[in-house]
Formats: sequence, structure tokens, C-alpha cells
Amino acid sequence: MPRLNAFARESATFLDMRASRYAVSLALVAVALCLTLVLQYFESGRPTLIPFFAAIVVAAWLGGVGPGCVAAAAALPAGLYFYAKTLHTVSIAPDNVLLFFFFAACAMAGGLLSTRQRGMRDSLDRAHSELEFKAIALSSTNDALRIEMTERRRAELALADTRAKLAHSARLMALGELTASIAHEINQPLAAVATNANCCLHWLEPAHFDLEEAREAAAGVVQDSTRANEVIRRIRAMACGAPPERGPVDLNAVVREALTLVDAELRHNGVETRLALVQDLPAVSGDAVQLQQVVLNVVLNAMEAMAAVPARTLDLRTAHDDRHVALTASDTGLGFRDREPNSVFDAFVTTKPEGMGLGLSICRTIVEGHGGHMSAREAMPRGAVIEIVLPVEVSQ
Amino acid sequence: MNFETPYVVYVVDDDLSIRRALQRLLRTVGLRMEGFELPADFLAFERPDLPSCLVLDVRLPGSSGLEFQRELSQLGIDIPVIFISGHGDIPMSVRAMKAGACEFFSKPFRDQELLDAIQLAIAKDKEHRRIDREIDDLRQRLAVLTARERQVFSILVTGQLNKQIGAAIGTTESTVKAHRTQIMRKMQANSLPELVRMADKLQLQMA
Repeated sequence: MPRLNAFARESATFLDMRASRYAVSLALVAVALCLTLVLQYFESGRPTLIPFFAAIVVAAWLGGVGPGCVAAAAALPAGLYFYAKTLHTVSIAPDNVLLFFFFAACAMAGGLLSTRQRGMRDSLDRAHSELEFKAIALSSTNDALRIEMTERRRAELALADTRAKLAHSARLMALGELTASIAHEINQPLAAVATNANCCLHWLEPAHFDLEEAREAAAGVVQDSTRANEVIRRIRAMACGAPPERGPVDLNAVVREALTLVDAELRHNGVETRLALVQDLPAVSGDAVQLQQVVLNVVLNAMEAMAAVPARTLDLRTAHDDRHVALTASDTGLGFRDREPNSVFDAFVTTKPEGMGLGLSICRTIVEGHGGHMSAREAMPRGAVIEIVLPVEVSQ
Repeated sequence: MNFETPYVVYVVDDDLSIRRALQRLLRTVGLRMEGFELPADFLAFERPDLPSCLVLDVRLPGSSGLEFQRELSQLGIDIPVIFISGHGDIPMSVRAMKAGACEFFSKPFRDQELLDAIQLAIAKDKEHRRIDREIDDLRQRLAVLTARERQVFSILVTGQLNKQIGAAIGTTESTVKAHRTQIMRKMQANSLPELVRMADKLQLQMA
């Protein structure tokens, strides 16, 4: 029902509009008639058809073809009436008719032309307003897009931040596991420093003065304190939560640095570490601390996987081609125990009784963040192989 | 304190800095030091027959210093052991001391304390060696005794009279007396109490 009502209302308005247009054209002709009569009253000369002409033009202009025709039709008798040779008769002379049709045609043409012009102007207006509307819509879409992009960028930054924090906590956890070994690493040179210093003092005493011995002992102090300092520097770099920095990194150096932190631990666990680091390894682009963390994690995992086997060998190899640098770590441990090797990179998957299963998952995130990938496979005859492939840094 | 007499201090520590520092420290007191990275190197070394002690790192490659200490006693290598540890804890030191270690130091240690401990350990080894030599000497003397004399010797030191010994081994009192004179001469003992002390040292089995 409401739809029907609406239809009725709309058609009424439509009819109204059409009817009013025709009414207007008739009214225009009537006005023209009155005007002619008034003109004739004041000026008893030959009547002019200009008011009718104007009425038809205006009717056609306002209402279009239909009202124009109606106005022409209405003006015909009036025009004939005034324009006939015999004034004020409706009798039709052939040349009068011809003249009138010519007059009517001219009026129609003028009206239609102006209608067309109006139509064109209207469509131009419409197109213009449509364009304006579209432009507004477009700019609002643009704004929405811009907001979305900002949101997205913020989310990405937040994600990167969270990842860096996670990597940092994983690093701290790894360092926590190494506390005893790190304390040992610092205590060793410190003990040597104290002893060397005492020796130096001894040789400087007048009773047993020996400058050469004293100098040698002092050199020992310098050497050992430098070593202690190095250990502390490495631990600080690992422990500090600085945001990752990108720069050219030598993977061989990364391996060596990481090993110095776990060296004591490896030896204590009876692991024989064999290094095969190729010379002239191209640099990779990345964060040295994060990559060290990856190596440290892989090495610690290997060490733990070998705890239960008698022969413990860890091979660390680097290699490269034109576009990639690879590090392979193979151990002789228990391997993946019938598990899909690459599942070790999934979060919360672990082969260790008290492991969280986050280490390798974080490692893979780090490696992938460097544009590389990390894979695992069974070693022959037993053990695990972890491979890290990183793209070579492209020099700008 | 100054050791000028020939003693040797063996150091087994996988850390070169520590070995070098100890070498310097021992040089200040004129002690000879032999350093080894691995326990196996120490075992392979031909040790001179001199009073010595072993300074052992608790944390050794592949095995712990405590295990090595056990291994040494299994191999019959009797040498005073001083432990040094980078991260010594109480249970570890208790175990070491129970297994017969002289001292247990945490790194960084006080040099003087370590030197004192080394001096004590060497003195202990010296005494040990002296006793060993004495026992060796006594064993050599004992070896000269005949089976019968050895039998009489073992009963004699329990404080029995010649008559009782004769009855125990089925011979006359005068024969026992002759054996007794031989025993005193061969063992180079001047009195019965001295002979008893010798028997004590030899831990002579009762017949």
C-alpha cells in the first residue's frame, strides 16, 4: 500500500508538472494576445506578430517540444486573425497560411534551439554536479584510506616492537641459562688479573726487585682485563634491549662472537666444536646482536640434544653463492625423534623437557625479518641439521 | 716462605690465563710449575720423583675435576689435590674434601692462601714420601726373613713369651730365642718396642 501511494503521489506531481507546462504555454499565448490587442489599441497600424513569436519561443524554451507545439497551435488562429489581409477575420488566404507556417516554424526552431541549448546546459550542469559529488566521495574515500594506512603502519610498528621485545626476552632467557658459564668466563680473567697484579707487586719490592718479571706480570694484567672486558661487552650487547639496527654483518664474525659466550659451556659438556668458516664471506644486511642470538640458540639446542649421547660433535659451516650466505649447524644428538624436522620452528614445539618451545620460533622470525629462511633436516647417520640462509647485502 | 728445594706444582686448568698467572705466582716463590690444559696431558706427563701437589680446576673439558680426582686414586696416583673453581658451591667443595682434597678455593682466590695451601700440600707429600720410603725400607728388611722367622715375628709383636711362642709353633724355647736374635738383627731393631712399631708400620698380618 505505501508503495502504491507513493506511486500515485509521484505520478500526480509528474502530471502536475506536465499540465502546468502546457498551461504555462497557453497562458503565454494569452499574454501575447493581450499584448497584441493593447498594441493595436495604441497604434492602429499593421499588427505585429512579435508577441506570439516570443510566446512560442518562451513556451518551447520552458516546456520543450510539446508545449511549444501547443503554443504554436494556439497562436495560429490569433496570428491569422491579426495578420490576414482582411483584418479581424478568420478567413484563410493561402499566402497567409504559408506566411504563418513560416512564422510558426521559425518560432518553433528558435524555441527548440533554445530548449536544446537548455538541455545541454542542464546535462552539463548535471555532469558537473555529478563530478563534484564524485570528487567529494573520492576525497572521503581517500581520507578513509589514509587513516587505514596510518593505522596499519602503527600496527606494523607495534608488531615489530613486540617482536623485538620477544627476541630480547628470549635472549635474556638464553643468557640466564648460561649464567654459570658466563660467571666462569668473567671469573677466570679476573682471577688471573689479581694474581698477575700480586706478582707485579712482588717483583717491585726492593727485596726481590726484577723489572722484567714485573713488566711481564703487568702485561698479563692488561691482557686479562681486556679479556674480561670483552666478555662483559658481549653480554651487555646481548642483554641490552636496544632496537635492532641494520648494517652490514659478517656472519663468520657473528658465529665466532656467539661461540665465545658458550665456549666454556660447550667444553664443559664435552662438545667438540668444529668450525669451517669460508673466507671472503659476503656481508649480509642485518642486526648483529639478533643474528648472534640465532646462532647462540642453535648452538645451545645442539648442545642439549647431544647431552645424552657419548659422541658430541658440532659442525658449524658457512658457505655462499652470488646472492646468499648460508650457515649450517649439524650435531650428533638425538635429532627430531620421528617429528617433522621443520615443526621445531613452530611456537611451543619442543623436544626439551623444560623448554618453552619459543627459541627456534623466535629465531625463524628473526631470520625471516632479515629476508632469509631457516630450515631443519635429519643428519646422517643421526642428529640434526639446522640451516640458515640470508640474502647477501646489496650495496647501494 | 721460599721453596728453593726441588718441588713441582702441577696445574690442570683449561684456561691459559690462569695457567700463566699461576706460573708467575709460583715463580715469585721459586717453585717449579708444570701446567696442563687437559687431565690426559697430566697423566701422559712423566712425573719426576719429587714432592709435589696438584692444583686442579673443578670445571674441566669433558669431565669434572672431581671425577678426575676419583680417577687418580683409582690409578693409584697418590698426590695432594688443591681445587680451584670458577663457581664453587658448598656441596661441590664438601664432595671434594670428602674425596681427600687438601683445599678448595673459589676464583678469584687469595694468592697467599693458595701459596700456603700449596706449601702445606707439598709438606704433606714430602711426609708421605718419607713414610713410603721408610715402609719400603722395612719391607726390604722383612723380605730377608725366612718363613719361620716371619711366623715368629708376627707372634712376637703381640707380646707373647718365648715359651708361649715355642708352644704355638711346636718348637723349643731356645730355637725361638735363636729366631728372635736373627729377627732383631735383620730388621735392625734395637729393642722389642721398636720392633713392634715397625710391625705397626708394616701392618703385619697376624699369623
